[in-house]
Amino acid sequence: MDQNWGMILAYAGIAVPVLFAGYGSARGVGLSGQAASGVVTEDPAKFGKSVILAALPGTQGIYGFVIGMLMYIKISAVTDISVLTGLQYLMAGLPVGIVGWLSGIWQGNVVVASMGILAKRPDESTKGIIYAGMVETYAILAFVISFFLVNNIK
Amino acid sequence: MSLAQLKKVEIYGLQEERNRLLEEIQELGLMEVVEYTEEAQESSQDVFSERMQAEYLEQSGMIDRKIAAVGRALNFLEQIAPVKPSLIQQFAGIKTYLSQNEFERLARTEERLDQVIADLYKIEQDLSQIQSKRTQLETLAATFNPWRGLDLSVGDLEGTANTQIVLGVTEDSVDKLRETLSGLGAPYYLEVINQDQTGSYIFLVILRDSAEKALPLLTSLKVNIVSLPHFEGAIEAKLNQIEQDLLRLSQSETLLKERAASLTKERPLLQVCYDSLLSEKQRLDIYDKLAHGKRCFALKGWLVADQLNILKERLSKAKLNYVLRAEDPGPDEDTPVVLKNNPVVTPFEYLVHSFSYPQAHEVDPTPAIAPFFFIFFGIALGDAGYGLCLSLFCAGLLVALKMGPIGKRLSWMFLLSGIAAVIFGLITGSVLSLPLKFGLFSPLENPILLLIIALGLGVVQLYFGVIISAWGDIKAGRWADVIWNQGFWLLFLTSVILVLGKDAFGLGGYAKFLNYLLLFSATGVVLSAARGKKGILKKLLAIPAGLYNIYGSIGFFSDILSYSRLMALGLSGGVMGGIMNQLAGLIIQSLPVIGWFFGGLIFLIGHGLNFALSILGAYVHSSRLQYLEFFGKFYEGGGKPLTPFKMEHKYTFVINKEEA
Repeated sequence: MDQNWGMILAYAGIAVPVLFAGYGSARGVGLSGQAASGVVTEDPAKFGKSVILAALPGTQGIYGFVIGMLMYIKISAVTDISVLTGLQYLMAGLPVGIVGWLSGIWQGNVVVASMGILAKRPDESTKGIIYAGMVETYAILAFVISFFLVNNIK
Repeated sequence: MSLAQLKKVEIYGLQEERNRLLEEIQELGLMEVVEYTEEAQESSQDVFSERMQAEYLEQSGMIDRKIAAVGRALNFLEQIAPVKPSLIQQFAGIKTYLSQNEFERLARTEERLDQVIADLYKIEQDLSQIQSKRTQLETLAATFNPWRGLDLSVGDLEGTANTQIVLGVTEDSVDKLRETLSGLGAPYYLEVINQDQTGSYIFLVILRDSAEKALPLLTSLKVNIVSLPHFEGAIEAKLNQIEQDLLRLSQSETLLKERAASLTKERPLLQVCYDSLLSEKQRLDIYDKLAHGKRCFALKGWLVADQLNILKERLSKAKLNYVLRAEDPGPDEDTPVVLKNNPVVTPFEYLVHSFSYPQAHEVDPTPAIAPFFFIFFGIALGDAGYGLCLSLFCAGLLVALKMGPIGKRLSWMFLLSGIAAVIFGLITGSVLSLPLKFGLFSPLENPILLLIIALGLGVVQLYFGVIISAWGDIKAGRWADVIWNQGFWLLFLTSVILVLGKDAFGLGGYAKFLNYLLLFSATGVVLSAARGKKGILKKLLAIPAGLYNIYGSIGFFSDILSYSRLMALGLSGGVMGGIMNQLAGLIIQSLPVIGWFFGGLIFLIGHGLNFALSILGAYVHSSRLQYLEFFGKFYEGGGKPLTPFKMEHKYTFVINKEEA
């Protein structure tokens, strides 16, 4: 039983980053995709630039996925996981999971606003990319911590 | 690290040569024309007589009309035969490429242009006529169509001396109608011609005598009485005729569209004329900026000093009478700016261009950000295979496409940055995330080292930024200012880093010395706030503000932490690529033969996606580090780039002679 609880916690540890960060990115990309469609309706030639903006909130999901995958590789290499180790996996997944979730949505909101720049002043759209990139900082910081936490689990 | 030296240029010319002179300057496209001061404008107002004013308005109205006509023709062609942009063209814009000679040849064929515009206008009119006729016929057909089964002509529908014919549509059941009509006691004949979702179409014959009673009854039973529009012959024949008419219309429409499509070969002509008309309008609008005398006029503007001779040569070659006066701008004058860098660094001007140009008194940050962007991009992409793909792609673009200066810079920037990724990928032994064992260290096995490299680069860049902010003082030799403003600050930051990391650096033995160093430098930072304040009291009052400076170090260290993104991007890209490889490998192992196909497919698509996202991330975050962290230390921006008075090219791109 003890061994099973460890496994269950470790699996939850994989689920958390993939689930939450993935949800955040899906929301963010969803929001920005809607705004992008509006811009392209008016001017189809802006498709390329709008894709770049709309893709920005997609990275959080990738960070979560990468962490989840690293955990999976580690877990599949061992047969026995204690409850303590399982808890470590769960905790390690939390930073990128939660920050990825929220920052993905907020980055999506910033991208929606930046689509306005793209629509009205296309030459300045790089600045919108930078604003959206600023939100990403915190997802990156969370990713770094999660990465080291996973890396540290014996 | 410099901006190009500008000259303030004044040119005096003769009124009768005004247009030719402006044309020469515009074709050269190097000089920015600025407005004269108000005084000069006012004095020229007297001379700029009503006659000239009227002439100007008339000309500008005529050009506006012409531009509208050509624009309309182009729009119409776009509707008939739209140009589909490729993905690259969506970024670069669709342009028609021409040589200078071709452009000039086309711009001069005015009669041909009028002909094409008239033709297109005629076709457009005809098409809209056909469209309205078709709508008319279609409504008519819709009215007649339900009555198709009625084999009576229009004359018959008028009835006889004693009988009246009623056509109607009812939603109710016909049986109920029959019942009610029978209740009247008068003879009648009722036939259902047709039935559809609107209801039943009935043909009713009644006696004229009973009509008075029957007609209100029909209305109460919700029968809509229909009167068909006038027609000759039978309904069937009429419908056939309408169908034939429609067919003829669509035939002539196809013919017209074909003719319009055959005119698409004149698109370059229209585009060239549109652009040259736009240029002409620019030339006309610039009249307002000039100062006018009765016989002569003056023009003022900015020009890069090196290009002064080119301008003089060009004007002399055109045998124009002119006087040119050039002078250096005053020290406080707000001049436009032109970036000037050596060819290796020039591509990175794109980064400055998309942020903000420096002000006239600032340094050009391009040479400072170029090496950092190069290295950062290399670490963030971090894969030799991806880097090579990016460089080759950009090289391909540069060869295949004729681009404007900005597009060229962007392509070159990514080409160089791709090379950086190749270098870093070789150092870390990562090529398409394949499990190869070479290179100095592997980021996946030793992520801490990568983090230290990223943060270390951050420290280097931020220190560099602080030093650049002192550049003005260093050049002027104001060393006291440099030491108080930046020296103590850097010493303080350094001692904080050393105190915190003394064990890691192996400096544990010097702990006491480092603590004193920290104390000394912190005192220096606090006291620097009191510099320049007069009187003991004011100096003392400045101390709290100095303490606040210490607090600023938190901002500095959070800036350094921000550089950890380089490591995160490099790692996540690498892990993602590795996962794609594993997936592909899994499929190749588990499926015989076709596994190679599907595995290869997954390899290509997976790496393609990862490639695109990694490049996006590397670009966004490498430039963000320049804009926020680095520029925050020394750069203001907000300068105005020199916008030369030049030929307009909305639709066309004239290829230089040497490039053609």
